[in-house]
Amino acid sequence: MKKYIIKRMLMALPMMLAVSFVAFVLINLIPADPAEVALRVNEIIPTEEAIEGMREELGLNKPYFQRYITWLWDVLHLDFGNSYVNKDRTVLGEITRSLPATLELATASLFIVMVVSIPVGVLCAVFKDSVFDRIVRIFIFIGTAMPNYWVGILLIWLFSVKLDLVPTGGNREAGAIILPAITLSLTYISTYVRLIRNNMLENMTENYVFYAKVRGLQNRSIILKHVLKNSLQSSVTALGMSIVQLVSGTVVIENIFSWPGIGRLCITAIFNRDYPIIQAYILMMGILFIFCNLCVDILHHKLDPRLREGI
Amino acid sequence: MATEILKVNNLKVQHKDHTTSRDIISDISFGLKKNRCLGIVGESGSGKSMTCKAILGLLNNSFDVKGDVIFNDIHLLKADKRKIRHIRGKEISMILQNPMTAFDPLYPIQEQMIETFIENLAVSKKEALNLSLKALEDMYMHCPKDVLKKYPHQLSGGMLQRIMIGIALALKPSIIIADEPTTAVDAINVVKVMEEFTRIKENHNTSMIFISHDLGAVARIADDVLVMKDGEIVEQGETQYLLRNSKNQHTRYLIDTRKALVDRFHLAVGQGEAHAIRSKGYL
Amino acid sequence: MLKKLIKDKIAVITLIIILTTMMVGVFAEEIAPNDPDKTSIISKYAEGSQEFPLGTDHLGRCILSRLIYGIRPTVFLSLLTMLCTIVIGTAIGMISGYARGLLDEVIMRIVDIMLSFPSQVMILAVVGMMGVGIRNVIIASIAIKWAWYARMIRSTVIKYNNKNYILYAKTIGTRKSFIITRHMLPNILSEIIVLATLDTGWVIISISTLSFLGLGVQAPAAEWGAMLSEAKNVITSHPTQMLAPGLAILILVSSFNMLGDSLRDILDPKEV
Repeated sequence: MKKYIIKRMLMALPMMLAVSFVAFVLINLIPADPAEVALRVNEIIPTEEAIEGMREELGLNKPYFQRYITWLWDVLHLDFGNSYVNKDRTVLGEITRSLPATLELATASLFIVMVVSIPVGVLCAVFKDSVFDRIVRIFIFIGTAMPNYWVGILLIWLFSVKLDLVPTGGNREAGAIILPAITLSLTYISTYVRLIRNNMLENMTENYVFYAKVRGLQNRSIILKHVLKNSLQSSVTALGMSIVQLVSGTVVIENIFSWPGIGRLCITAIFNRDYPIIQAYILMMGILFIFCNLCVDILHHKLDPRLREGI
Repeated sequence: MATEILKVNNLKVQHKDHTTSRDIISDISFGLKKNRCLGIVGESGSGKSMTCKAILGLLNNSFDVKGDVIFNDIHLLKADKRKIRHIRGKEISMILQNPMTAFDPLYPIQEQMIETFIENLAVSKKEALNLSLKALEDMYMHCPKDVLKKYPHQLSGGMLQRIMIGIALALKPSIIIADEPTTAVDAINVVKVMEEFTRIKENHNTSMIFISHDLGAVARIADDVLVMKDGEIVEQGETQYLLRNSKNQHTRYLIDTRKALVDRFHLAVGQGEAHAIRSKGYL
Repeated sequence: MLKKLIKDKIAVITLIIILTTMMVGVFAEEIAPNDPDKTSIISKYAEGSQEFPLGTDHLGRCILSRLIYGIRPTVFLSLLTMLCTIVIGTAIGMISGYARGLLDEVIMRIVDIMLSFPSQVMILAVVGMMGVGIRNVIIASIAIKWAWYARMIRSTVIKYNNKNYILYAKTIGTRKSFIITRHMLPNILSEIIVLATLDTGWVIISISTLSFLGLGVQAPAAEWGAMLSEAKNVITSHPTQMLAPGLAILILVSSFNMLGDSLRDILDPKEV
C-alpha cells in the first residue's frame, strides 16, 4: 500500500509539470503584449519606452525557456508575482485571502450533495418505478435542464426577497452560506442521484446479489451491506472528481451571491486582464485536479480488495 | 414409495416484455422424493435453471409465474415473502453455477459465511465463525483458517464452488439444489466437486436436485432423471432405466451426443488413460 | 427510422418546439412586435399589454422582442458551436482511427487530458487569456468539446474498420475517401446525432451562463443569459423580469435533452 502511494505520487509529478507548463504557455499566447496590458490597466500611456521598461520589470525580454524556469522556481516558492492592477498586492496574498471562503462553500455543498444524493439514489433504486422514483426522476430532469444561475436568482427571490429568511449575498451574516451552498449542490445532486441509482440497479442484477438471496439474507442487509458498498465503490471516482467541479462551479455561484471567493477573484481578474491572477487560478485548479485524482486512486485502492494486493 | 418432499404442479413461467409475453416454461409437473436425488438434464436454454429459480421465488417482476410449488405442505408461490426467505437457505439451499461471481468481491469469505449462518441458524457471531471453519474442514480444504480470511478473487473457481457446497451443507437443509455446479469449474476441480456431491448423497440426509447439461454427471449421481427441452419435460423416470431403455428421441439424442464425445475423447487420449478415468466413473 | 420518429410523441413535440424556435429566430424582424433595442424611459417596467405582450425591462425595452431576438445568439451560436465541434472532432477522430500508430497515440493522450480536466476551468482559461467576448466563448466551448467526438469517432472507425463489408471494399480496391464517405459516415452519423443533440442543451446553458457573467454576449445585445443578468439587478423591485428568459432556456434545453433521449432509443433499439 505504501509503495503504491509513493509510486502514484511520483507519477503525479510529471502531470504537475505539464499543468505548470500549460499555465505558463497560455499567458504567453495572449494576443496582446503582457507588458502593454500591464501598463494599460494602470492607465499609463504605453509609449515605447514605458513598454520596454515594463518588459524589463516583468522579465519578458529573456528567452522563453529561461523565463519558464524562473517562473517555475518562483512558483515553487509560492511566489506568483504581483497583481497587474494593484501593484503592491501579491497574487499569493489575493488567493489566500479568498480561498477560505471558496473552500467553505465547496465543503458545505459537497456535504449537501452526499447527504442528499446517497439516500435518494438508494431509495430510487430500491423502489424503482414507484411514485417516489418517478418524482425524483422528473426533478433530476429539470435539474439538468435548468441553468444554475437561474436557480440561484430564483432562490434569492424566494428566500431572501419574499420570505426574508436569509441574506441575499456576502458571507458576513449568519446563514449567508445556505443559499449559495444549496444552489451549487443542486446540479451535482441530480448527477449523483442518477449515478448512484444506476450503479445500484446495475449491481442488483449481479450474481452475488442473487446468491445472497439464495442464502436467505434479508433484503435490507443485501441492499445496505452489499449493493450499497459496491455501488459507492464505483461512484467514488465520480464523487472525488466532483470536488474539482464544485470548486470550479463556484465561479458562477460566487458571482450571483457576492461570495468573496476565488471564483469572483478570477472573474474580476478576467475583466481587468489581470493575467498573473488568472494564471495562478489555472495553475491552482490544475494542481487541485491532480491532487483529487491522486486521492481518488488511493481511496479506490484502499476500498477494493482486488486492487489492494499485488502491489 | 418414498414421500415427496417437494411437489411441483403445472408450473408455468412467462417472460413479459413491454408488449409481448413469451413462454419460458410451459406447464411442467414433477416431484422430489425424500432422500433421493433428482437430476434435470437438457441443453442450455431448455429452462432447467429457470425452474429452480421459479421454485424459490427468485425471478424478478418481469416474469410471470403460475402453478403450485408445495414444500412440506407450504405453497411456496403463495407464501409471503418473509416465510419464503426463511425457507430459502435454511430449508432449501442452492449451489450456483458461477462460483467466481457469486460472492461479494468486497468482503472476505469469512464475513459472507458468518452472515449466512447468523441469519439462518440464529447463532452468535462466535458460533458462526466456528461453523464456518467446520464447514470448510468438512470439505477437506487445506488451511481453512487462511481460506476464511481470503477475498473471493483470491480463490479459484473450484475452491469457491466447494465453499458454496460447504455453506449449503452446514445449513443442514432438507433440499439442496445444485444448478450446473460443474460448468464453470476447471477439469481437475470438476472431479473434486463431483466427489463432494457423491459424498453428500451417501452421508447426509438430504434430498437433492441436480441440474446439468452433462448427462454423464447426472447419470452418476441422480436416482431419477427429468429431461427438459424448450421449457417442457420430454421424459422422466429412474435414471438407469431411462439411460438404457429410453425411446424418446430427444433423450436418445442427448445420450448419443454424449457417447460421441466420449468416443472422440478416447481417440484423443488413447484407450489406457480413458479407461483409468472411466474406472473412476467420470465418463 | 423516420416512421419511428413520428410515432414517438415526445420526439415529435420537442422537435416541433425546437424547429418553431429556430424559425421564430430566423424571422425575428417580422415576428417581433417591437425593436428589441429601442429604449423608452416613460414605459419602464410596463406590465404586459397590447403593445408589450410580456412587458418591458429596466430601460423600457420590449421583453418579448428581446426574447425573440435573443434566440439568435443563444440557439444559433450554440448550433454553430456544435457544428464546428463535430467537424473538428470527426476529422481528428477519423485521422486517429485510420492512422493508428504514433499519431493516434499522441492524439489520444491529448484527448484524455482534455476530457479529464474540468470544462469550466478550461473555458475560463481560454476566455481569460483571449479576452471577454462571445467569439472567444465559442472558441473555448469548441476547444473543450471536440475531444468527446474525436474519441467516439475513433473507436467507431476502429470498430467498423474490421467489419466484413469494409474489408471487402478494401480488397476490391475502393479508394479510402470513398470508403469513409460512403460506408463509415452513415454508420457513425446516428451516434453523432444523438450525442450532438444532448450536447446542444449543454452548450446553450454554457453560453448563456458566460453571458450572464458578462463574459459572453455583451450588452446591449439581446441574449437570454445577459437578460437574466440584467433582471438580477432589479430582483427586489421587479422580480418578474427574470421569469421569461429563464423559462425560455429551461424549455429549450429540456427539449434538446428529451429529443436526444428519444433519438437514442429510436436509433439504438438494443438498449431498450
